[in-house]
Amino acid sequence: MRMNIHLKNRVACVGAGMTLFRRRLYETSDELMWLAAKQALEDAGLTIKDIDCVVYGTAPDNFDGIHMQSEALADGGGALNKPYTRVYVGGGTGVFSAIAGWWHVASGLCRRVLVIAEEKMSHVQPHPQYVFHHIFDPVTEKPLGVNLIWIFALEMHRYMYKYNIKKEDIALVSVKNKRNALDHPAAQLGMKITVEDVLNSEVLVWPVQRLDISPISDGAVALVFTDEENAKQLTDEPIWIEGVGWNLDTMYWTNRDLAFPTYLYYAGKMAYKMAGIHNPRKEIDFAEVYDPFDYKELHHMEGLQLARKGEAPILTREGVTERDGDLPINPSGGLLGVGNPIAAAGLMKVAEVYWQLKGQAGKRQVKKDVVTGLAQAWGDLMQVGTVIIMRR
Amino acid sequence: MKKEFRFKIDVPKYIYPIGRGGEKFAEGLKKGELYAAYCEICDNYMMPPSAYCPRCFSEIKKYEKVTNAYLDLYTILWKDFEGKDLEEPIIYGFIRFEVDEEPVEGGLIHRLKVDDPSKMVLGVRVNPIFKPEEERRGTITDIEYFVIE
Amino acid sequence: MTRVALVGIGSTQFRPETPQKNFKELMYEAASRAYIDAGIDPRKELDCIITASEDLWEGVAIFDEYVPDQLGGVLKSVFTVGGDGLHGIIHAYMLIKTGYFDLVAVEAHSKVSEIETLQKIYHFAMDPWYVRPVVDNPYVLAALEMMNMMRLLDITFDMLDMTIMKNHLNAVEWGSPYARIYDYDNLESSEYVAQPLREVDIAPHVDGATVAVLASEEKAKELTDDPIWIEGVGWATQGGRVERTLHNLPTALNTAGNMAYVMAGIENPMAELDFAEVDDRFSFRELVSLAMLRLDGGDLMEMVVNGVYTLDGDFPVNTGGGFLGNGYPLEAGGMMKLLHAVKQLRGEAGFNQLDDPEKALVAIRREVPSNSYAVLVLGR
Repeated sequence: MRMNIHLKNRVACVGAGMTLFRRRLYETSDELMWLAAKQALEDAGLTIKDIDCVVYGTAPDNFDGIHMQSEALADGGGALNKPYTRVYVGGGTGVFSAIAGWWHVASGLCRRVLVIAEEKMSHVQPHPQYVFHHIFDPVTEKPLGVNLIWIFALEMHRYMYKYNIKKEDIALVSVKNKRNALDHPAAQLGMKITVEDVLNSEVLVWPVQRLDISPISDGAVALVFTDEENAKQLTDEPIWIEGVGWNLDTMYWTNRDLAFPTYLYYAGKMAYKMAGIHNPRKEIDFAEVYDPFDYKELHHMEGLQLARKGEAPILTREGVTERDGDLPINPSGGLLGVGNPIAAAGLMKVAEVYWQLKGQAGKRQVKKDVVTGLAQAWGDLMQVGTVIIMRR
Repeated sequence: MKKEFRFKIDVPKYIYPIGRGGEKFAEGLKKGELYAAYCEICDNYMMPPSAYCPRCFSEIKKYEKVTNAYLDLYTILWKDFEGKDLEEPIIYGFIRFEVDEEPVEGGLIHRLKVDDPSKMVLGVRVNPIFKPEEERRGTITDIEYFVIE
Repeated sequence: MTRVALVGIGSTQFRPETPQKNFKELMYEAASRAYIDAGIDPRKELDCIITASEDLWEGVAIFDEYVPDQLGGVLKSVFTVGGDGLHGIIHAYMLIKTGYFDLVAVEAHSKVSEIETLQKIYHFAMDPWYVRPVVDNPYVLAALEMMNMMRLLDITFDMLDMTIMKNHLNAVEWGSPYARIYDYDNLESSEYVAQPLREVDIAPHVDGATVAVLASEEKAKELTDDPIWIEGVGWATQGGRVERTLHNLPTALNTAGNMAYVMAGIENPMAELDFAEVDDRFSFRELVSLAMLRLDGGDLMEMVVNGVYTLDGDFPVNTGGGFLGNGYPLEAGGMMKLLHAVKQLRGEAGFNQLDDPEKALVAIRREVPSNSYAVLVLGR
């Protein structure tokens, strides 16, 4: 990637909407998309007829249980007779669909884009882990009967070992995020817990315990992106998308050092370069980093250079990452608190950055004045990092 | 690749809720009736019904019972997917509907039972044949097939 | 703003079975050829790699993770599009248009011969409430669509027969496994699969992979003297519900086509384009595509009967033999069309070579039961 100093189309986010995140929602997949999209359009002051193009994001097809899912759900995005496409990078899809929305506008091809991410994990019986089983290599790993938690346990253990991190420090993330989520009206798992609760919860795959892990959820989130001209007509204070980045590492995860997410380091570098950020720790005011497991928040802060290697647990312990801290992380409550409908959870983070920058986050609003926010997601086989940076 | 190195994938099972849009339709099936969604803003009936209008995004508030069904398209399936002849051909119809002589957008694809093939002309009126009431579960297979009137 | 050029394309052969290679090796073969064709080092120069695929074709969840290694994409910006290869090309086009990306590769492939439950996958693509319990065969939907199109566009079996014969004849020179010289007697004896859809109307499945490399204007001029320019792109979807699209014309193809025409500054497509590669997954789809893309000269029947679309005609269509002659490689379908168009524009089409073509159209519809279209206008 090179720098584009002649950028013609700045991209703005002008509206956001989301459904409740719940373990099982009654609405069908396309109805969820419609509910989220309708809210986002109302927020932006547009109708579906004003939209030129729809971008849809969902992680694997196998959750909703429809092959060529994007095609079947086109009605829910209002994409009749419109350009409509689906992109995916596994768990990173949420933030990535926003990145795709960015290039639809930045390329000059579209002016008003509706970005929707949706996931309905409750269709799978008896449990979505049956789908996660299929993300492993069919020859070398799948026959072992592995599931997703297994691989995270390895990564968490390696991270704890290399930087000498205690479980107590990691548990603080879960405590913080679940507490933050109490203020989120759509949250599934907001609650007041203590470090002891986390450490005493059921062991799933050591060192991963029940309260270290985000729930299974249904939900959808939508955003509206426009070019500069439209944004200025619609609102006095559009939120600009200033940098995007994504990076995919090798599928052979056994060849990597799991203690540090190199792919995320590169993805972050790409986004920082585009946004003209040289010192992320100073210039990023707050961040929504991907936290399907509590240690992942710390891991990702380090990958994004928001903390030095091994430093993230210390920042957490000192309260720097609290809502009233110097670098608030996951003021929404993150995946641990709000819920984790894979792709929708990622886009929820982008929506949260939008709400925070707009000053519309209500009880969740961070204390300090924020200008620059970052949202990040991560996915595939611990393999991809997707980053988006937004400014007021 | 040698056969023994191949692997197979087992697909998990799924449960799909019918959602807001299909609720009325499913209840109708149990009663032996078919309902279409009506968008008041676009003045448009839709089958299968959905909870929202994909054109104007307004919420559907009205579901109307269809009053007339006709055969719009049909196909006779002679072979299975592998290309082998079926023991007996299966006839599928694309059935469209009217509500008080107003056209309904869309329709239903379903099996057609035909005694006299010469009657199978496009536009002919058809009727759904429902399962006995106690066997109905509120799914599309509550209709056993359509017959030509 | 920068123009976008196609600077390299590479493909495996399209064959009914490729038992000696797995899907990663097919992708590797196609990618190596494309990178050599473009004259680039993928590890150093590529900014982004796009794959077009759907999970269930490979029997995995999250296909994206299986991609980077064999394409030279480790620790690079890589992602997957749930669409046809042409949708991938359109994303690459947009990425380069933003001005941040110089060199983007697009991959699509098929390893359909290894899918033991292909019918079940098609079945799994249908609406779980209204269609799946009733229909389990995708050809039923195709047959209903065919009957509707024959009704709305006055397509006759004679026109379909001529299309089938033409495409098979065009494919013979490409060494295609399915190409054969048909006469009317052969076609007449073809049996119905789902009336009115006959065996000869259906393109059989094939394996294969294709990779294309797209570049910004600046980069393209560094790499080659005669790139193929992508002058217009368009894509659209008709809608999600099969039932609500079945009785209409595919106006979304018209929308996508017009989008590409406007971008390429084309007002009278039939006069300004030299040839077209359009979807012929089923024989009738070729004629529908031509009608919806304003390539029927006002009277489709006359055009077909007068041989306008043959290699010697005024407006050759599917010069490479299309899917009917070469087979249908799932999401790589659009890429096969693109390959044929690029070969023509470069003058590498051998026996099928047209006389100095300048502009071409490539259009595709995704597999049933989808309703998505993608269109490209290419120029030399």
